[in-house]
Amino acid sequence: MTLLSVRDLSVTLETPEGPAPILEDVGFDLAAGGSLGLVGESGCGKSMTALAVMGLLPERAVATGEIVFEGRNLLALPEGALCKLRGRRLAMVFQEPMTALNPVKTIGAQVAEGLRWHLGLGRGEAEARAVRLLDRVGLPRPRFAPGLYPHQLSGGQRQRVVIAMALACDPALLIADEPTTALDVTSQAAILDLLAEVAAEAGLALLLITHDLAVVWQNTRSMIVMYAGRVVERGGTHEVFARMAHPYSRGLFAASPGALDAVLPPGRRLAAIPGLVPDPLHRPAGCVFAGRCPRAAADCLPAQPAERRLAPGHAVACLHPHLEATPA
Amino acid sequence: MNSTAPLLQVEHLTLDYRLPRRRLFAPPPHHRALDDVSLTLARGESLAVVGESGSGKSTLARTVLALERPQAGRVVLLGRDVFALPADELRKLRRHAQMVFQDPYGSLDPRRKVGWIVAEPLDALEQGVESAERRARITETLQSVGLQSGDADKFPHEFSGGQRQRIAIARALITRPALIVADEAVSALDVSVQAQVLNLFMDLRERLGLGYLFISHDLAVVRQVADRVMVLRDGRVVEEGEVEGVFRAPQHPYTRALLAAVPRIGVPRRRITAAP
Amino acid sequence: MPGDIGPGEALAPAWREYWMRGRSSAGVVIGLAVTTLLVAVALVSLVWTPYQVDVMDIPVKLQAPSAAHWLGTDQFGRDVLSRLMAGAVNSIAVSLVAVGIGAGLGVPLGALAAARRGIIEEVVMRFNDFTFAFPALLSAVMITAILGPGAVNSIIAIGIFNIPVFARLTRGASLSLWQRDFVLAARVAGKGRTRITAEHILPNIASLLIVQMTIQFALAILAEAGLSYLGLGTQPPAPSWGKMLNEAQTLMYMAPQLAIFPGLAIMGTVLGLNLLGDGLRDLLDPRLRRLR
Repeated sequence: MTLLSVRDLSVTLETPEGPAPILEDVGFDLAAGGSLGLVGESGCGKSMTALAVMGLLPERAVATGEIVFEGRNLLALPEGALCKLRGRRLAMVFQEPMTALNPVKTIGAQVAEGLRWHLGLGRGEAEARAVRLLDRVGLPRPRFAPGLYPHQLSGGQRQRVVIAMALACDPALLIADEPTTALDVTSQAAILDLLAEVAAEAGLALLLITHDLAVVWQNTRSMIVMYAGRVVERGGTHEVFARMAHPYSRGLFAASPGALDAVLPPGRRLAAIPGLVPDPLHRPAGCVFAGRCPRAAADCLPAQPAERRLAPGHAVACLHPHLEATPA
Repeated sequence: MNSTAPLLQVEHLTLDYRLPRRRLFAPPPHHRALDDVSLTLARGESLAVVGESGSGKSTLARTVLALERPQAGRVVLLGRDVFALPADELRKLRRHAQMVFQDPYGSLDPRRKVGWIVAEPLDALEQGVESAERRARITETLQSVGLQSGDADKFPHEFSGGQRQRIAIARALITRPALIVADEAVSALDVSVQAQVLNLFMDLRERLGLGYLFISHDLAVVRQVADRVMVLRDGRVVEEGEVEGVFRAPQHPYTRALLAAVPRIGVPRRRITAAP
Repeated sequence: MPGDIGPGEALAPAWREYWMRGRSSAGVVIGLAVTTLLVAVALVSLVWTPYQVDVMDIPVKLQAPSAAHWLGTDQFGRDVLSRLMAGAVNSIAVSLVAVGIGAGLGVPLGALAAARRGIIEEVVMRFNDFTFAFPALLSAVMITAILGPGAVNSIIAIGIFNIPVFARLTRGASLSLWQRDFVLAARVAGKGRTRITAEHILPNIASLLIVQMTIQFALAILAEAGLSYLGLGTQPPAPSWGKMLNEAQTLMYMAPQLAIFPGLAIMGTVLGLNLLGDGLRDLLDPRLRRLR
């Protein structure tokens, strides 16, 4: 059953220099209980996509297209209806645990807040559930009392509180936007473990946004690669990694410092992608990656390449994709 | 100066931070940021210091450049004890050791042009440089990091994160130092940009014979750029050695835990059972 | 290069952006208009006023506004408009110099406290607290009572009370700047504290200081009016708005315009300056927070 279906999502931001197309024709599906990784670097629009789904786009942004969640188009809903969904059916975990929590409220109160607001639970029951949630995310009593304040916890611990808040009302979809980027590597692993566990347990669908290819590999069943506001490749995670058809995906893979036990590249030089991501205001008319692409040809310049299916469940928006397997 | 003498020697460095007073009449509590840390760096060598937050690695970087004063221990740069030098001698020594910071957005003064920023160490540390030569050196350094001479007249906000980091590297190079301390210099960059900047670090090292003290939390990056690695935890050195050796056969359980936690493509995630 | 070369284009990029955004801010535009008008009127009055400021013309005393005297005349037949214009010069001069003293001494003190920390910072801040502890206007009265009334002494009195305002602001803003990486980079580059303060700290807090100066300027105008009202500021026959208010007190029922016009002048000026200050502050804040 498809829980979330995004179709032709385009978001334009009004800037003093004119309208900037942040997202162009983004589309993807997420099944109930599935896990989708959204991979890209700065400026690819992955955070905007998450905000669009949650209905939290900035005021100057105009969104077109469809975001169908549980049968309803979220872009057509008024703010009141969206508020009822947020925190209840749709939850989000952000990158910065330091700023996601209210510093003057206890962690117990913050977790209980959603329960009281959405489910109408009384104070006692909400607190009891909050304690259970905190325990579920690895912050059990007596070491972690619900009366603790955020500043008394480490980054990883705060992120756990944020996850507890997100899970409180038993949502169907959890969007995690770079949930571990600001954390130490050991906390990262623990948080990703936690997310996978709770998702499996609750049948939760997970939309995991990250720039780290390895995190996508380990934690998602399907993935999309975004570049400059567009989806350039999509498919099952293992399929995409086996092929890495789009030159950008392959470039990203080659530019990542390899696994710790892999052979070092010659001269210890990484295969960097030359050039820079184009500014949203100055995107080229043709393929948005053509300027940096080693495989670009004359037919890449007139228009954006449409998506082509390479195999069942694997599509790429490129006229000259790689067809050989990756060296992984 | 003896060219086989080590570039940098850190001996038993201990540094405490004073925390706010808890009681009015008791001495204020301390947090030990560095605890008996020692290291040696030869000319042209690249040593990485890895650790998590609170490990003391940034404090080490700042202390090596005499931006912080330790309670005990010595830092000997090019044969001279930096904390025993009078202020003007220390200033002269700074020509030989410069730093690249983590945040490409915060490490450049937003009100100054790039040329001025890049020339800052030159203006402060070398007297009597004529304006023609100054301009030439600015251009030379900008080009050596892959930027153009025209970029000297622009402002930092006109550049991307990766380009700003190149500007920061150019600033660190202009006095032709022997040592560069890179404090998480690529951590805030995207993967593809990080690759460009890491390659730049390698190129510069080969061309100019620079020594690096490379602070990072990212073990994969460390492997790319360093010959030797030192692992810090809570201000102490827990393991040290050649990068390949340490990564293949880590001796200390903490090192093993760090290595195990790094996500790897092709390897399913291993459940971590450590307490939060 | 596409686009017109308007006045904004000639400025450095940072200021150009301020110019473009300032143009659309009502507060800034109105405030700037009022301030410019005030300055213009004051400058003009130095060379010309409709009538001589202190020429008495008893037969036309206490007249309502008319074609000959646009704002009427006072009890000595002097033209109110001319006296208002000349009073503007006085208000501006006193306020400008007083704020100048406040900033000129306060900013270096605050910068010194932030750069040196330790005992120097303690001394400076305690001196600040001490000065702040006295209610400003009351102490201004006290100072002029001791030193004697007059424009110069009111400048000193108002100036003294501006010093801690700027010292505190400068210290607070500087402290956070000292933690920034680019300042650390300057230290690594070998620059000393004084040079860093001059080259990095002050330019980066300049906008904050400008906003504060606008606000202090408004307050100084009020203070000067207050002192003159009490007879402790500018002495007759030099006209000043506060003195005009004072003189109008007994005549309010006969000729209310004598109180209304100086009152409006003071109010309008202070309002305009406050709008400018608030507008400038709004202009700067989002920029400071915006990630580039």
